Amino acid sequence: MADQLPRREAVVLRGHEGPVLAVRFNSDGNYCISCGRDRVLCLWNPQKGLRIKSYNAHAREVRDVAVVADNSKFCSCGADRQLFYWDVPTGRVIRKFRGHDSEVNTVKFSENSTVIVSGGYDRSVRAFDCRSHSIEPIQVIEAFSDSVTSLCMTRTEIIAGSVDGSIRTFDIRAGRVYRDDLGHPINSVALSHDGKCTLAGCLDSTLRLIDRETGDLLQEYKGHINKSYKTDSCLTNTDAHVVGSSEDGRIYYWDLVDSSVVSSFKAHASAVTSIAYHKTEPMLVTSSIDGTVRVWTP
Amino acid sequence: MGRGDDDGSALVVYGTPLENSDELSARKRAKALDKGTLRQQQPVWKQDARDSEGRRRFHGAFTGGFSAGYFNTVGSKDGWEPKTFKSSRGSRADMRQHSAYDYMDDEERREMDSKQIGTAQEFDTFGFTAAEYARREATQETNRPAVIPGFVPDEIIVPPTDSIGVKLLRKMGWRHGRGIGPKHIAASSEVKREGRKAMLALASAGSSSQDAGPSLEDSETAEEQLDLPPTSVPDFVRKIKDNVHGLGFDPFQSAPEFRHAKDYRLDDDKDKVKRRTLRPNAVTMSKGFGIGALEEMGDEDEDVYATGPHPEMMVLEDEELERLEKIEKKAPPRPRLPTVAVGKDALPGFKLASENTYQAEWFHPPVVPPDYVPVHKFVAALDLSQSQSDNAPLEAPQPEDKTLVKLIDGMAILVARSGTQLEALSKEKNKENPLFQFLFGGPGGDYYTRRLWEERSKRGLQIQSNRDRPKLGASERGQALGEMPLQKSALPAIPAEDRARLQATLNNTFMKPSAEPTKTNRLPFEDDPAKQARYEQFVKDKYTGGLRKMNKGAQQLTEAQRAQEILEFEAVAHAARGTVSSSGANLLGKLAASSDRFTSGGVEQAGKFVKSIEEQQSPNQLSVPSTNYAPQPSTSLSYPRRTEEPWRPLPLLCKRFDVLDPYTGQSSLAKPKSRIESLTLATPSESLFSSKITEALGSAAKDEEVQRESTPPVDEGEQQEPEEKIAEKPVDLYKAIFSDDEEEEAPSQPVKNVDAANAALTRLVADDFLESLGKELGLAVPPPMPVPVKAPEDSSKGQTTQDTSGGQPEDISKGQTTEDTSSGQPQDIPKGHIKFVKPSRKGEEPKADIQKERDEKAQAKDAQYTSEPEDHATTKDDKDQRRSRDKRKDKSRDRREESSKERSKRKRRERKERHKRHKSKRRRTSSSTSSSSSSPSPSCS
Repeated sequence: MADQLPRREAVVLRGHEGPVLAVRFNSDGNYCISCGRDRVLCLWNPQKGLRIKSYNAHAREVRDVAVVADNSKFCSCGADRQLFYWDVPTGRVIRKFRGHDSEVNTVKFSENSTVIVSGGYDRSVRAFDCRSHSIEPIQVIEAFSDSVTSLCMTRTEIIAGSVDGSIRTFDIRAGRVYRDDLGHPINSVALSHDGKCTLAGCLDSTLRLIDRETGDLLQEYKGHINKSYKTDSCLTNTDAHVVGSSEDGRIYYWDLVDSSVVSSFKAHASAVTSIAYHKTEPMLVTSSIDGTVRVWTP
Repeated sequence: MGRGDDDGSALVVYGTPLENSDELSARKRAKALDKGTLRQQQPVWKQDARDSEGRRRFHGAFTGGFSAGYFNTVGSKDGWEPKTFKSSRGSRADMRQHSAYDYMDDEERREMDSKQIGTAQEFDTFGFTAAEYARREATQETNRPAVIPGFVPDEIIVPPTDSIGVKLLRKMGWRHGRGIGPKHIAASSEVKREGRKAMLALASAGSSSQDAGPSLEDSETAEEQLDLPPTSVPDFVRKIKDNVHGLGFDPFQSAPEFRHAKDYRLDDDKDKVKRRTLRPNAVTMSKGFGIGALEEMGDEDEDVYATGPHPEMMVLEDEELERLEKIEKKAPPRPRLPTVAVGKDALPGFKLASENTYQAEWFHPPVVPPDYVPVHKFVAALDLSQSQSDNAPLEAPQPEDKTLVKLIDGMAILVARSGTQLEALSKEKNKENPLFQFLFGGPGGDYYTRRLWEERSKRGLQIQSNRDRPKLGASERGQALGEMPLQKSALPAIPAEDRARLQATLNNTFMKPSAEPTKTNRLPFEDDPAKQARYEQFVKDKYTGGLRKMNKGAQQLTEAQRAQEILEFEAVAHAARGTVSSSGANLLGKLAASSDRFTSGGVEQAGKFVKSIEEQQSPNQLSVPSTNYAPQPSTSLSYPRRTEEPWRPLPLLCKRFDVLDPYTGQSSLAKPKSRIESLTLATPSESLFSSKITEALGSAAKDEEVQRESTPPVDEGEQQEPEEKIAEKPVDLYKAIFSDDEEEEAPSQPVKNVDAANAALTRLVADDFLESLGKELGLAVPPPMPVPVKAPEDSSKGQTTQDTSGGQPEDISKGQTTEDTSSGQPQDIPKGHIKFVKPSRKGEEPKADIQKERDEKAQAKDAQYTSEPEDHATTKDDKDQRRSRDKRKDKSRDRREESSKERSKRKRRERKERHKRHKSKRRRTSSSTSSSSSSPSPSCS
């Protein structure tokens, strides 16, 4: 099982001039898109290591990107406080949403790709409509007391992690918000593939697995360093392992159940900023401050 | 051109010659008429429209009518005759795909065809186009009844004309039927032929068919001698199909040697075949007629179209049979093995082995161990049955030796308990030991067997009794199986506070019956006989259980007091029982234990909760149990912890997420009313409380703000409605807003509304807390006094409350202006107001204020009640409101001429007063709660 984990460097994607801040797979995992401090978004073929296209419109660093389910469009956000809604083939910006009052940290699409949800430094989560031509948000959720760092979406819920140490689950169907206080600033939020657990990366160098139904702490994963950078964490496609990135450039794999470090390797020269795991295959892409995106396979 | 052809002369004429009508003969005229060339010459009324075929296009109706009938469009007299319905149910396959081509007339078809590009005949090198034409012709032909049904094979249809390629070839000396290609290609094929020959030689080695070889060679050499290019005779001509395989199927495709072998065999056994093929047919034929039983069938009698098995197949079968017969004759009988070829039919190049190395392997059946018993015996059951069914051994006397008796007894017990294995073991061990001779039937053997039987029967009884014991409960079984224990509470989804409240109310309404009524010879409430009576009633009820009855004397008590009392009684009853059941035991411990056992967490919390109130309010009352509830260390600090709140997704968001709006029909958020209610009950400490109050107010205001911000500015009326729902509007405020003069036009309405809502909220809070606060502050009932105005020292506080409550810039500015005016130089306010400014301070809040406020409130309430319909009307429909306001404005405008400045001034004054009153009220609630006054509380009201 453990030898199935992606540890071998398959391809290095070079092209960004400066730190790469986020990397994401598209919905079928054949392509990945990265963004960085050089204000450029790059579309890659991770299997062949080809840069397919670069998208250039942001005025400042691009912090996150999300791809629509049918891969025809994507949305990016960054320090210029705006959300850009792009057309993939033409590379044109379809819409610029009004965005936030300050830097936008994270962006995600709803499951049916009709709503863009973003979280920002202005302590709010905002939902934007892709269907109408309005650039104003549908709803502004200002429940947080600190910067919203990460978002997750399910069919009817918005899960947001904030530096105030809370994960808030906004259940649209029930009309309730569940606030799970973890006591530490939350850096990343990821869902397990069965949708029952939330993995929260905290700034005390710990990943915490939370039962979504009850809010109980199921497990803690330690060993990596995460104290100041915004990094990502996620679960493998089989939900058997937890993947975390460290500020010393290492990638860690933990066993989901007994939280032992199954494997760790040096992936980058400096801090890893973002990781993304392939939906179906054992394949990992990592991005780093060192300006590279690397693809890892077993 | 056509014309020229007609004449047959060499004269070339371009264009149509003008013909003189006079010169035209009748015949020519008719011809010209036919061709339509004459109409130029005819007068217009005589001309008629004709198509290129000379058919009339228009008929009747002054020659303008278009006939769609027989004449030119449809080929029938009836015109567009509707087709009779023909069900295609049975013949779906006959449904034909129609194409545009089917509906075209000749002209259109010609036109269509002329568009297709084909090779001109001169350039049709390989004759493909010609062949294609021919094929098309043929397919058209097949539609007609023909001699041979079905399609004509492609090969039969040959191009009718020689293609240019054929012509060229002819000129180069090629003749029809010859192959194309130079001689060296044929030469190269010679090599192949050589190889084939070698193969054949190898294959035919040892076989009897050597005569076929030369014949084949002969034919080939003949071909070589001719030295001609290969003929282009098609395959089906050269190789006549003589088998029943599918077309094109070659059974020897990957094994050509077998093909030749077959060929030889065919040649070799030609006669045999003929003889044998008739064998099966003979049977069928005998049934028929024409051939007698003794007649020898000749070749000519062969059934040409025999439907029986094919000759070739028969050959193979017969050969097989024959070969087998031979084998049986030659070789001794032995197991037939599929892989071993035998006799002379061994593969060419292989020799048959002299002895067979193959030996069928024989496996012995597994050895059954001698001590194997094919029946499983259950130990306990066996023991039981033995002890029950066995005849009891005879009563045996005890041996004299006491030690032996002891030993035997012990042994018997042990063996009975742990089975006969122990006996066997001890037998093994103590073979030589004289003490254990009883095991081997020595001295005391009888006694031993008897004792053993006794013990066994005892044990059997025990086992039986074990079986009779009650079955495990679901929870025990679950525990044994390692299942997760079920949640204790049946209400997992209800949040903790709600659960607590629910439990408390349940506790107030119901009671559990307790096992035995305890005698209380002690009177806990001796000083209060009414209470004592109630207590006794309570104790009596307690042991019957069920719905709590309202005590006779308890009617005059408030709800909270009753709840308190019940709790008190409960505690006392517990204590009393504790003392009765175990005098001198630790009462506290008992109490704690009993409370642990009987009350769930929620009850305990509620209890604590009321206790704390009790402690605060009446410290001189019975306080024995309350001290026992040691404050538990709060677990709320441990992470992660979950809190749940209502959250309102906007309708559009719900729509985009394909989710029904959970708040459909509700125009506003679930208001923090409940929260305030809970807060009114929860008064653990004053400082905390005050902070909570401000927080609650702040959050309430925030909620409103958020709502206002997030909702798109729709309509004023719509926006206003929710707020009106929440807050019962004070009438005077509305009057203040709506009975405005022209000066009061600037502030927008929503702001006012928010202000009103806040004011109402604070008033509500003040309402709820007034009594308790009054007690706490120890205020006597002062005489009514005019409204005091806050001192400037308090302004910071006032601002903070405003910040949390309103957050509206205009509101704040207004508050500030009032304060300014109060402290500075007021123009309109009477001086009497300023007098009260100085003494009002933070700590020493004038007692008069509260009483005054209460009076005011009462008045306001009265006013509210009396003017309710009007108020309702104003609040209900905003449009009405606006209309009425407009009216009022008009009126005021009318009155403006006559109205004096004094009136407006008075109004303004009134309004400001009201404002101040509200402000001060709000401020007071916060300041009074924050100022912790520990004065003894006199029992007021």
